Amino acid sequence: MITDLNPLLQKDSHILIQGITGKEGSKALDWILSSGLQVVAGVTPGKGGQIVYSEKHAKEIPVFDSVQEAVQKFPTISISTIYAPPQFVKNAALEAIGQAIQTIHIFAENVPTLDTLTILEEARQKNVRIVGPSSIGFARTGIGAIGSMGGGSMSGYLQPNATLDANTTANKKGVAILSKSGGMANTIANYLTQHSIPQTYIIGIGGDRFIGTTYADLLPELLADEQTAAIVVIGEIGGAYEEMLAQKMMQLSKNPKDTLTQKLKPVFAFISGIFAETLPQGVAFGHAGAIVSKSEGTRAGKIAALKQAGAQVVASPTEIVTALQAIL
Amino acid sequence: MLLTEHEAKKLLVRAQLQVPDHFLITHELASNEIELLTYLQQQTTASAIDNADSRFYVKAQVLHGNRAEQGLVVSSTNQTLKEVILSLFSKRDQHNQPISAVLVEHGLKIKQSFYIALRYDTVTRQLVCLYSEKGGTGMDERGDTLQKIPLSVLEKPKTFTQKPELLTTLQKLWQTFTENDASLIEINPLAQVATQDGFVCLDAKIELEDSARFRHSEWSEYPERSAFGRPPTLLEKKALQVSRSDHRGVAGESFFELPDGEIGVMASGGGASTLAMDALLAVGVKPANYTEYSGNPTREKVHALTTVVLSIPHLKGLYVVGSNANFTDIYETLAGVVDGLLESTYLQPQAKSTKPFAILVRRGGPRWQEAFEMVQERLAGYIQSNQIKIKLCGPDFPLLDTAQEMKNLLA
Repeated sequence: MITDLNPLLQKDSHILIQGITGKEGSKALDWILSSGLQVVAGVTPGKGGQIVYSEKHAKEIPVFDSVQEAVQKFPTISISTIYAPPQFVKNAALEAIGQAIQTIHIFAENVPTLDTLTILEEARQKNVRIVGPSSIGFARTGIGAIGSMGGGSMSGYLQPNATLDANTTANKKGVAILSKSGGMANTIANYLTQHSIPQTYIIGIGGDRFIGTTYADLLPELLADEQTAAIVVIGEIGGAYEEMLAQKMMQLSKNPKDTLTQKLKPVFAFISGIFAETLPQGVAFGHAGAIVSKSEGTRAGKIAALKQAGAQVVASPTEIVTALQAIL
Repeated sequence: MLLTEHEAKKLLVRAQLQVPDHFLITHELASNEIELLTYLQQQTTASAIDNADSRFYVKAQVLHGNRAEQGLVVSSTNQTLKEVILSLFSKRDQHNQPISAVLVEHGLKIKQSFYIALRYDTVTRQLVCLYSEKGGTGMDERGDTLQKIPLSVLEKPKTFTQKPELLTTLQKLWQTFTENDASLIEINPLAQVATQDGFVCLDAKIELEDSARFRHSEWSEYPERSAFGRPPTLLEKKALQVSRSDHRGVAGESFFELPDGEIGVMASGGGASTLAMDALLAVGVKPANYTEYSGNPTREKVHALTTVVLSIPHLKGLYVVGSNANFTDIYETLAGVVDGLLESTYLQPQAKSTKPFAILVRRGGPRWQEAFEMVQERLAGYIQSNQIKIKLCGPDFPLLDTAQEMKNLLA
């Protein structure tokens, strides 16, 4: 497993956009710049030498044919966000891993599993963090947002230079939102902002069956973060990522000597998929990873595991607000 | 995409794995008795092999497991073969579909049965081999005998300490798995036969991963099938055509027709669509379909999908619900919904029923306010004449509460 990773996102991170000349890639450029982060280069094979101009930010971004060329020119690149269609994701990601870029975000959904696992296997060997595939992106308050999080206009807490000091909570703490679904991450962030509950992190981990960074993988960073008071998990049927989070929480709670155990925080979870489970086994519903199965990834199994690990499982996303108001 | 046993075995044979001697009888062939008898005579004499146990196994080619328990795998002698084949064609599978083909295999004298499968493991996020020395029926109960061996997707397995004699078989299965973008290959039983070297795949289950379709043009040769184990309905086919009409966003990639429904559903976003259907179930509103559009599809694509949804007869309303979009243009996509609505039979003058057609929209995201104004303006005449009743809910409206609102509109 990956160890000693840098924090997910830092103010001075230098960012590369692979697929920058495409429709979604060029939009993401504006949004990432709006969030206050620095995009230094783009890659689109065959379009090396071009310049992508962000009118909104009056900024020219050079385009390279390969990640290698981009990294040669900008060796400080530490994050790449990939806006390639699913069939080109594998090669794009392997290029970025080859250049040992620390964190790679993959936006496309429905990447073939063989390609995803090839990427993950190579990334493990190089100690590179993969977020996604099928991830909307990730954001940290006061630092910025990667990907297409909020279409550049999400929760007020994610505006550039936003700080938790500006909000209404007395102890200046916020909550981290982790969600497979990008839309649900945005929706929940909106609910919380409406109720003056600040957010510290918003992370779309991705809805594909196999992803690089799971809820459990993020737990250490979120527990260590002083400003994060609670963690909200938006899950759904299929796979084992919610169960793996529960297992990690259990392990920590049984090991009082672990420094993270002393930092355990309340976890609030919502799991959808009641209707989906009325469908025949094998059907994927909503996301590629939300596979109906009697033996693995059932809603009941996830809820039981999370409850056993001490998480509070709510029946509707709006109940999260009430639960959080009680602790913040 | 789940393959039938016969389709699966063709892939195994291509990788030089052994399967029993066999022949396929289609429904068409079986419906002509003289042709069937002639064919059986040719096949049963031509392919007799040394280690055959003189029995045949007749297996319905269906898209589900547990066939033996359901009487869809029957053993037969040469004398009763025709009757057994015809009796299988008179049955239906567990999805209530007719049997379109049966596979007839020569029996083998078996020394030992193994279980071997390759699949992805969601916990370790790796390819794994599942192996047991006790194959055959009842594997669900013998799950504790299964050993899980992690494999690399980058290189072929080089050892198989559990049973070294099976290394070549494992390597061929790995090759079949990776070359065909499988998500599951299960061989059960894998048989060691008495009078022959090597191992024979007696039964096989293979699932291919739909997301890899772009690099497998050969998959177009497989007859169409849905995840429901039946051929797709006309509307399901139409919705899929819409989604694949261009690469921008998805619209109709998942489309299921549901029995006895009262409203059309157009959900948006993988997470929100799951939640929206849960919400409908909770308040007892019956959806006539499920479909989803997301990833910023074009107006034309959403228009075409709306037309498919609204071609379902006897709908009382339309439920257009999604999360707060990150990058989907709400104006463009809702314009597509209105385009489809205006053309649908539900808004034609002759369609005027005693109750207005109920429409609930819940959206947030880029240009949602502009979009809502456009919807109000373009549907104003129908709202005034009470032909439709509409509620537009913005990004602050809780997703789960939309189902109750829909119910209120229908009341």
